[in-house]
Amino acid sequence: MAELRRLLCSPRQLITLLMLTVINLALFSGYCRTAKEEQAASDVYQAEFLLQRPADYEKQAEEAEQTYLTTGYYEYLTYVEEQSVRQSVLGKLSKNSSFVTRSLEKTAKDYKKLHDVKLTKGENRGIRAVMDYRVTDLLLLIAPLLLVLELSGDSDTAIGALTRTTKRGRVPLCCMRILAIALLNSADVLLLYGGNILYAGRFFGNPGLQRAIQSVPDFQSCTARITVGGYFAGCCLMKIAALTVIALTVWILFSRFYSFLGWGIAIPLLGIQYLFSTAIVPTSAANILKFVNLASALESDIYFTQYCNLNWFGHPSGILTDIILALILALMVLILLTVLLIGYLRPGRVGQQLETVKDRIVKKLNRHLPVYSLFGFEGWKLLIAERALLTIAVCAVFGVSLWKDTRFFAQPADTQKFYTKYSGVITQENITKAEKLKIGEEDKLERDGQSFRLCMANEASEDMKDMLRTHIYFDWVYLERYENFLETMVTTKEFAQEHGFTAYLIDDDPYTKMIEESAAERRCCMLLLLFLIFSFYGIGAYDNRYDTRLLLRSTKKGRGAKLGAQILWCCILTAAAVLVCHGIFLLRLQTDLGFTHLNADMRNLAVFRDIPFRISLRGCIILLMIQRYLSALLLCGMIMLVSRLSKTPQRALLLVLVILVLPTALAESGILHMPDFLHVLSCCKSELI
Amino acid sequence: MPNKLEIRNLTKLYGDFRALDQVSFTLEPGVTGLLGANGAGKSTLMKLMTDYMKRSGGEILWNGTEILKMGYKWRELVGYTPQLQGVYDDFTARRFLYYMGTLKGMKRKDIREQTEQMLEAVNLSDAAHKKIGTFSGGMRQRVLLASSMLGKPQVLILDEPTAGLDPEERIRIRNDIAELARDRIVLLATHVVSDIACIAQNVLLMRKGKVIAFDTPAGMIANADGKIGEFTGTYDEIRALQKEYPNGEIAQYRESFVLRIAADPLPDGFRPVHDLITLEDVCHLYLKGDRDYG
Repeated sequence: MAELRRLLCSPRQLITLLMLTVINLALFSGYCRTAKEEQAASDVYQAEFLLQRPADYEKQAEEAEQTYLTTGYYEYLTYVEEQSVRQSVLGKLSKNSSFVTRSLEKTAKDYKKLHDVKLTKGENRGIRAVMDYRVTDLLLLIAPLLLVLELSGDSDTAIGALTRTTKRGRVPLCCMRILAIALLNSADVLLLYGGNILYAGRFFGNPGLQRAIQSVPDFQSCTARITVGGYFAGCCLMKIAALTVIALTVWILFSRFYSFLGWGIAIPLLGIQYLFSTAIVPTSAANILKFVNLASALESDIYFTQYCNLNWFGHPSGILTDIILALILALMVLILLTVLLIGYLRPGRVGQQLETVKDRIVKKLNRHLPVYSLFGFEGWKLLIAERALLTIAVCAVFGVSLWKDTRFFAQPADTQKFYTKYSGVITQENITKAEKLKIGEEDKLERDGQSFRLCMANEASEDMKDMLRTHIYFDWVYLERYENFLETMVTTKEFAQEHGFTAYLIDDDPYTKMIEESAAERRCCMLLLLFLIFSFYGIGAYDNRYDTRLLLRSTKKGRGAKLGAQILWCCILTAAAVLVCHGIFLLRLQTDLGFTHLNADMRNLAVFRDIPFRISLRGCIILLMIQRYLSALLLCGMIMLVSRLSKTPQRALLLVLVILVLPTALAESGILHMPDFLHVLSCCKSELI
Repeated sequence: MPNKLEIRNLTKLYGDFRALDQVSFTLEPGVTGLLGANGAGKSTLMKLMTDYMKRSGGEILWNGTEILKMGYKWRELVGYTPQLQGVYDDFTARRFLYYMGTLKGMKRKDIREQTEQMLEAVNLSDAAHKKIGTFSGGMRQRVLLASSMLGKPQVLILDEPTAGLDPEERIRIRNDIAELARDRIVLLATHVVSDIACIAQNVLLMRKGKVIAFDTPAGMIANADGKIGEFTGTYDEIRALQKEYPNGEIAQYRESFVLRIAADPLPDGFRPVHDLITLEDVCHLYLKGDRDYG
């Protein structure tokens, strides 16, 4: 029990779990907000694209869902069942392989059993968000891997030798440690994945844990008779088991192989699992590698959303059953191996020769080690010793996923057409043309109104009336837009004449989105904040940790020059991070919507009309980036200060996370209400204008 | 004219506590041994000499110029080995020395050359490619010592440089320091009297923030004449006496036992020793009763 307490309740472990929970919450809340905003924007876009009124579009979506719940799902079951039966008969006739026939028979049987499942309506968006968010799976790996790496280093230390001389220092201790790994994984999954479920429930609404999982259309292929709650519990258990299998494998590898060889085996072993999980399609002949796979088990929901039978020597077996059995078997084998190799047998490592070769190579290379400048050495310390390079790599991965996730919906077709025709310098000719457009639209509205009145008088069909209602609705929408365009053109021209600049009609959508509150930008800011924290938390605390301050300050460049080099690195990395993080957002805006007329005076846009000086839109974007850079530098300064005052980098990280990320994460997730000026992300993105 | 480092009325207060109280002495090329119990003010003195902390009063003059006015030019002249083993575990020994050389503002070519020389001097050439985190305490101490000697500083301030070294290494390092001190000022603080006994030109004794003696070893030994005594008796007699003189040193000669003490005046029954007085005896005489001494 003492070992359990030592491993699980140590400040280091608790800090790691807290840190991961906070980061996960911050990232997931951003994801949910973006998903919700994008869904809303997509609905508006889709409705107009399909020429439907928003209320009609919403009603239609609801009807579609209702249809799925009442008849659609059962029709789907019948269809699959019939297809399977038909194909199995055909298979028998055409002498298909026995596996294919058996698999089809099993499919028909599995789907037949589901006809009495009662589907209930509920909030599905949260379930979808939890399911689609993959970053949590990566974060889940961190805590158990850190623990097993710590444990594997134990045998090299005096304490490791000491514990092995005690009565319970071998097999019982090893068993306790296995239990500790399992418990840590449980806590890890409950905090991170459970946190996502709770947050999604709070943000999108109650997912209805008692509902049959098939009530969610994404799970229509699921043949397990479970509820939504059961699905979440199943995923949790599967993740815990997968994490434990991974942790035990890594522990064995690092305890029995020298670290060089350990990494050499562990990375390809886990990498190949991930590769199989993503690259192999479910219908492939090698799908067994995809489904009996640790990366897939960690992902876990594919076993509920997809239906597939694996070929076990000609016998079909459902993927859910297969993975459960495989995980149980792997756990049993690995527990036995761990007890045998780590607990029972004397410590010893394979790969000594390789280690000697590595040592020789390192020794030779070390002789030619470059002597850097102070700036170079401080960079080496920051990037390599303090692992900022790793942070950069991780943030780059997140950046790519952010780039993929962020999407802006283009303006309606008529607006785009209008801007294509008339954007640019506002001339009297263009104003006249716009006026004509407006008059044309007014006429159309009048005509549609008359048609509608005629329909009403002649008792036309409801469909006809409905069609005309929609026409009139869009006539109003377009008319309003043309009026706005015209007003914008006239007022901009007047304002420009008054203030002595050339009047432009500019599509203000990308510029407005650039400065207005949006979940997508907040995600970019959160990524920037996390980058700054994880890159610079150790910058001062690193010296404190090794007590080098006394020695360094006694040297010529150990004071101002050293601090100067560190600050310079912070400035450079922060500039790169600001460019990337805000750049993602701006580039997305440019790709999806497009910034136009960058040389035009920014006061051409109504939102910037109060600016008292002359500046082009390009200048405005640059100024905005500079302001964001300065805000980021301010944050960077705070992180450096906390780091310099902390005794160890770990403490610095904890302090910075508690000060900067925790309140922000709570505020972002809506749990805590915080004034805007206290909001760190507002500081990151605070608008100049 | 040889270099001169003058300390005048140096005082350091921590609140009401006087860590250093009006300390004055002058250092010239050669080794000056600094002896004192824990808390005597040795490390504080060294921190003030490297301008690590703010002093409460007094002056430190390098050839007549206040070191605070010299700024980084003073630090260019100083090589320092702190008592705490402040080295980066993630650095290899060679990289750490390169880093220290860069911080000292040395040229790259000199850094390379001197690093190899120093690694050789402290017997770390074979382990130079290994991370300091894997080193023993003695090896880390040697890395620090090598770093302090980089750049051939005019003033070497060494705070317990031989702590954690094995006897052979200790002798080797001691000889290196003696060699370096030919044309440099070396201030060497230690608990181990034998470290400075053979190489120090001067010895500085400190107690409770004050300098209580500053002289050559020979002068100190001469001053102690008549204050070191021995009592020869049976084991039981010696045990009984030792309760009175807990700092006394016991030695066994065939069947009799000898208790050697330092006291002024010597108690009755103790025979004064005139020959073979060691620096150790002098320290016993001046620092007896100080906790953590020796």
